[in-house]
Amino acid sequence: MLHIEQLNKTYPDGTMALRGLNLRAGRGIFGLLGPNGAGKSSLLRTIATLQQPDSGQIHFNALDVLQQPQQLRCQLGYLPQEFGVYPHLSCLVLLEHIAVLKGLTDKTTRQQQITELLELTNLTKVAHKTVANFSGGMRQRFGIAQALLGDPKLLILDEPSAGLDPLERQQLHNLLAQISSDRLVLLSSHIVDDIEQLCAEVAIMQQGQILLQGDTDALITPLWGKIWLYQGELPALSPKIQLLQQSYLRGVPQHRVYADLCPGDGFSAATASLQDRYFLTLAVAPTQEQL
Amino acid sequence: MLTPFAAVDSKRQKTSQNTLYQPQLLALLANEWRFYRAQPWFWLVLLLALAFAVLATIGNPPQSAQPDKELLISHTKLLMMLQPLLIGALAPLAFLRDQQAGMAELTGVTPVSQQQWCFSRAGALLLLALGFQLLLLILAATAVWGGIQPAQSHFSLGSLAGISILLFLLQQVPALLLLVALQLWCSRHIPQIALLYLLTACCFIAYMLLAAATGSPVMAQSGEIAPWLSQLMLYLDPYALTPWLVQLQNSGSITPGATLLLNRALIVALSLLLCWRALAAVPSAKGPKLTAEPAATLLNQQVASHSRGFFSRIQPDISALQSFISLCKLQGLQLLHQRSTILALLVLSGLVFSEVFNGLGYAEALSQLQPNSRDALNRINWDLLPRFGLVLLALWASQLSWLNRQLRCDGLIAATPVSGAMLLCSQLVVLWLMTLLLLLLGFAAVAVAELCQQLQIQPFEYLQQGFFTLLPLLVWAMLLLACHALLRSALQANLVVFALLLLALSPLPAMLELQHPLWRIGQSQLQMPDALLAYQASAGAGSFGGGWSLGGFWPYWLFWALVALVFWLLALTCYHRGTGHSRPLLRFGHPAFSVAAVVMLLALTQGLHLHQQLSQAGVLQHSTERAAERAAYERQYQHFLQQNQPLVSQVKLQLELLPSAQQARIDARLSLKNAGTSPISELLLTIPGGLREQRAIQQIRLAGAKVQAKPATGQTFDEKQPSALQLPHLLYHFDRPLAPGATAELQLQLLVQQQAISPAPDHQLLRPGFSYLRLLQLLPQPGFMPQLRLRDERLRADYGLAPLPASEIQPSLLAAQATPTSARYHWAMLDMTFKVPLGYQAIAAGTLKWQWQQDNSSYFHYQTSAPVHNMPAVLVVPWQPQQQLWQGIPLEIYSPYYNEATTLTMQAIQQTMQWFNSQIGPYPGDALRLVMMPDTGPTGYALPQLVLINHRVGLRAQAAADAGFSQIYRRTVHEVAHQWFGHGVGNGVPGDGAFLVESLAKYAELVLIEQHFGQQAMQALVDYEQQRYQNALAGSVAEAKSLVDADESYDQYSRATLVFARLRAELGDPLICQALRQLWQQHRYPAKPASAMDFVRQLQALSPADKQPLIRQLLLEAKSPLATVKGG
Repeated sequence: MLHIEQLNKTYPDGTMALRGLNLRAGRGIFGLLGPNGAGKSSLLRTIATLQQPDSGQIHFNALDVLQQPQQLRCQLGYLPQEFGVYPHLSCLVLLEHIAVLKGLTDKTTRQQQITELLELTNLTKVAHKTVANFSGGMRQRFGIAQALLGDPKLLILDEPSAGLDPLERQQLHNLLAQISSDRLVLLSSHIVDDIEQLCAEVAIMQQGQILLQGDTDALITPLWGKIWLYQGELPALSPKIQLLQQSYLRGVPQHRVYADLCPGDGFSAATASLQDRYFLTLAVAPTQEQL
Repeated sequence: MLTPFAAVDSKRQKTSQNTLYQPQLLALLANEWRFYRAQPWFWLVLLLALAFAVLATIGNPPQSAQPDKELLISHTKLLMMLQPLLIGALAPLAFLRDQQAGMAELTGVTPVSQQQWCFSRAGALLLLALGFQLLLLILAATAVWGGIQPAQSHFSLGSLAGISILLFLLQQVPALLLLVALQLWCSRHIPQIALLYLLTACCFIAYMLLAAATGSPVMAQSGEIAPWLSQLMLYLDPYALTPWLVQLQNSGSITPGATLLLNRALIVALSLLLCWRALAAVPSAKGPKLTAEPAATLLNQQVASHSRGFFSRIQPDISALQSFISLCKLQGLQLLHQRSTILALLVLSGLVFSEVFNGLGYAEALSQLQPNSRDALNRINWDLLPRFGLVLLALWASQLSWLNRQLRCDGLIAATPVSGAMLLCSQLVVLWLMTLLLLLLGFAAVAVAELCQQLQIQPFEYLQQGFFTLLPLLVWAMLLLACHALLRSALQANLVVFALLLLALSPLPAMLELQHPLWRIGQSQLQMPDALLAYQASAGAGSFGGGWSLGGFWPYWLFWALVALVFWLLALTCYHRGTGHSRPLLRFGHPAFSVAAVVMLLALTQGLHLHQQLSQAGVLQHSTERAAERAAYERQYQHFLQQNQPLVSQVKLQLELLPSAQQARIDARLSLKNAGTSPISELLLTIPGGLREQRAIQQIRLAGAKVQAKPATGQTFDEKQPSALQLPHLLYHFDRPLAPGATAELQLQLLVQQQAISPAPDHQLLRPGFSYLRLLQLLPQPGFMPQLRLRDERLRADYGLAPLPASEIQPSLLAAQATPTSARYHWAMLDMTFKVPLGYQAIAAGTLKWQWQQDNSSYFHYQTSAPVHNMPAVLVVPWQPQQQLWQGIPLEIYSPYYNEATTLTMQAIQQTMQWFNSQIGPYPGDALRLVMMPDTGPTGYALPQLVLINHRVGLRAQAAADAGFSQIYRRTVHEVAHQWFGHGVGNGVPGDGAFLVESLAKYAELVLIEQHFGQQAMQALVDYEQQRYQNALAGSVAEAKSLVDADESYDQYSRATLVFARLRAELGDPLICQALRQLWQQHRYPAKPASAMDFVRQLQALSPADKQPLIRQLLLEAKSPLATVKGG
């Protein structure tokens, strides 16, 4: 569905946000992982036609997005990482407003969609309340509702679970899983677990480039038997061993390392996860100077 | 419990089709309406605008003789005042709401094309504004309809509706289109709300400046400065007022002509061009990176600065200062980096330079000023710079106060351990520094303009003027920031600031009849320094009596500074720290609150002191109170018009004048003579309003008479405490009736004390550099004064008075056959002795009989050898005169210095006297003294044997290179001519005189200029007056009257010049002079006074029969054939 080739974007202050980025994504949920400043939001904004790249190509189905941005917008739903709302407008009125902007000029269709989406996002009871006064989670749900207006074929969600409580987060996952059957959902998140749970395909970005892209399982499978867990103070490691993650479990340090063989006493085999792949990819990626 | 994101139902699956939605323009427009109607700001703006419009139109419907022109002008005024502000207030809502609300990305990804976006946003704004403007039009039309005089039956409701439709289509729509297009274009190129507000301010001010510079009738006291500008406005006036007025003047029809249509086409074309460019522009704010980046940068900087502040708390010796400096630096840089700030400062500098460079040498039309730094600064420092500066200050205060919230880092900053007081104080320091920068830039532009004109810069003048401008702005800065700090909502704070600015800068207080000077928030009574008086007229100074506390600057400034300080102190205790979420409760025990209470007490004391001083100066009387007094005067005493009342036959004055103390002690003795044939038992003594308001009467006594108690109030009069007199006028009863020919003496003592705390009344100025008292308004007058009656018909009706009959106020009727029998001269012998400090000259009418010095004072004794028009006056100046004798008559000029202008003035005096002496009659006085006066209003004024000339046009000016005649010469001739036409004949007939005074003096100008400078110079004068007349006529809605009956000044002066130029060409000077000579001989004192119709009759009697229709047409008919006047 989505095909990106050699996408470049440099901001006026010289920051190279995208460097010859290539990406292919089909139907379903596509996860985009990367540290802060990797260029995820820049990529999503560029796909969403909010900014023009310096060079490169983006195609969605048969549509040349850069040449026909208007056509893409007719089938796009977008939830930015941060967004505001017009003051003094109720949730219902603001959804109506955006629906009209999205071309839902037929009143019946519009109202039907809005009612459905309000139900879907559990905002029906607060439909007449001012959005500007919503809590963070409610506002995020409003953001998702507005993104789904017009039944978009391409849904871009930049950190959609930010501000949601665990239950809301889980239910968002359910929703995304169900609506992604006939469309492409581009999902950017810092939470690797979210991506692992939802996305069949994933790309890891750093410094404006895709470091790794592929089927989620296919990315994790090679790590099986090579992830080791150590609890307590970590002894000196051989250079062949790659430290992936340091964390705590009830206050006790936990270390996950990547090694072909067990690094030594105290290390136990652990189940490989997307997070391990993510850290491993970042750890072996070339630095900016090397680029 | 919430169950968000419940399972997708089956319906959703059904709607998941391959439907591509496309927005439609009509739906988008409806969408806009749904948005606007939910916005309180939208309704507030409409309500405020409507309230203003109602106040401006309904309050006092104008009585108009030309309803079509009246509607055009009043509608233009409304549009000019409201349209830019309305669009300016709503444009950010229309064009920048996505950025402002952080919804740019949400709306940016919708399939609304750029064209659709522009059309829907601009279209909705246009339609809403048009809807509102229809209301304005209806209001203006209703007001005009209410003011239509019953006599104008030809003007129907239908024709008013027709004109209204024309105005809607041709005036409103294109102007609105241009404004909306301009805002759209600007918002698409630089999407900053401050910039849109700045653009609004520029549009608002620019049209007013243009209107003032082209002499448009929508601006009071405007005059055409540059003809090319008027020509330009003919085609580019956004409201089409200029071409419409020209057309009305030329054809009398309001139906659009070719020029008007061309103007409209140009404006529409310009609007479309702007729309096209706006469409072509890629809105730079659409990419959030550009807007997010500065926010992020700022956040980082602020976090950095505050983290430094936090950590440095460990080292308290440097923490506060470091944090403070860091805050100031950060906020200052933020303001300076705003494009709106840079643009505003550039615009200001450009405006200042343009205003000074182009207008510096302008004294008046055809006259070039020899300017200095004071003149240069005066052009901008009392209007443009403080007003523009204040608006900019309000903008900066808002930006500074809500900067963190706008950047969504308010919580972050508020959570830092920096105190609220420090946050506020840093804002104040930044705002003060910005004010200084604003002033420095403005003054630098003035200095550059001066250098370009090769003038020498006077640094002290810059310092002095800068000081007086800076101080009020600093107080304003404190007040504005306090408003933002005390109110938790930016909207509320900006509304309060807007209301304050409205009171300070707009004519709203006057419209609401709030006449107390303290309604003018933050303003003082300081006036621009005069070349002769500097700041004496208004500032008050320690160098002369009264001191600082009684001047027009420091008492007001102190009051407003205290008020601002009160709010500032309260703000320090209750500051919301930039978040607006909540603010600390006011704690009465807080030290700042206690200080605020003390300062408030001081402010109240100062305010009370000011009020008392103003009350003492007699300036607080309301205009309606004055009108009511005059109506009561007429009702109560009108019957005295029919009663025999004495005349003043002699005025004896002893006057001690202390210029440095701004004080005059007057001891007056008036001889009241019964000039009638019946005895007088009851005398009405009319007390002039100025005398009463200033409570100047110390003692008043009429020999052989007692004051009667007022029947209405029963108030008794105490001669020993006359200053407590509340009742306006005195009614005396003679112990023994005053027999015909007998005289009674009225004695009175006056103490006139004048401070600079309020503007000096007309003809009464007591200052160290120049003092002038016209005693007519300080001396009681016997009998009923018909000129004190209300003239305005509506006012008369309001007070239950019948309209004044035309036979009393219309010269052609009141003297249709002969001068009315009630006419008589009020002439008296004058005998005046003045005591002034050494070094001063006292100047008055009459012969200077004696002059001596005693006890460090100079004494001057003036006496007239014969009765003169009873208008005694005295001038006291520290200058030595330039003297000449002409046929034994002393001619004196009093000026601070003497130059070519004074030489020309002396020449004009002599030549005028020579001509009058040979053609009309000998000079009717003992001496003639001409005094240069400060630039406080009139350019020239004549009193018996005295002439005052404004130094700006009479001493410091010279004829412009392209001038065909000298204005200095012309004005001198005019004022000297008043010794014959004005103070010779032209007085004594109530309701008559303007023609005999002003119009005949214009005839003298024509003759003298032709005689001494040639026919070409005279023609230049005619051309000049013709231009003035056409301009004035274009903006006038007054009923056309014959020249003899005219009461509009443009008729009495300009039209009179054209009429006499024509009469000279048709009849010749000998015939006109013969008529004037006969008028003089038959009507000069003590014969019966002359009326304008007496001159007409003389002229008609001497003219051949074939010229009679022309004379009648020119003098007695409303429409004079003056299209192309060639003199000579």
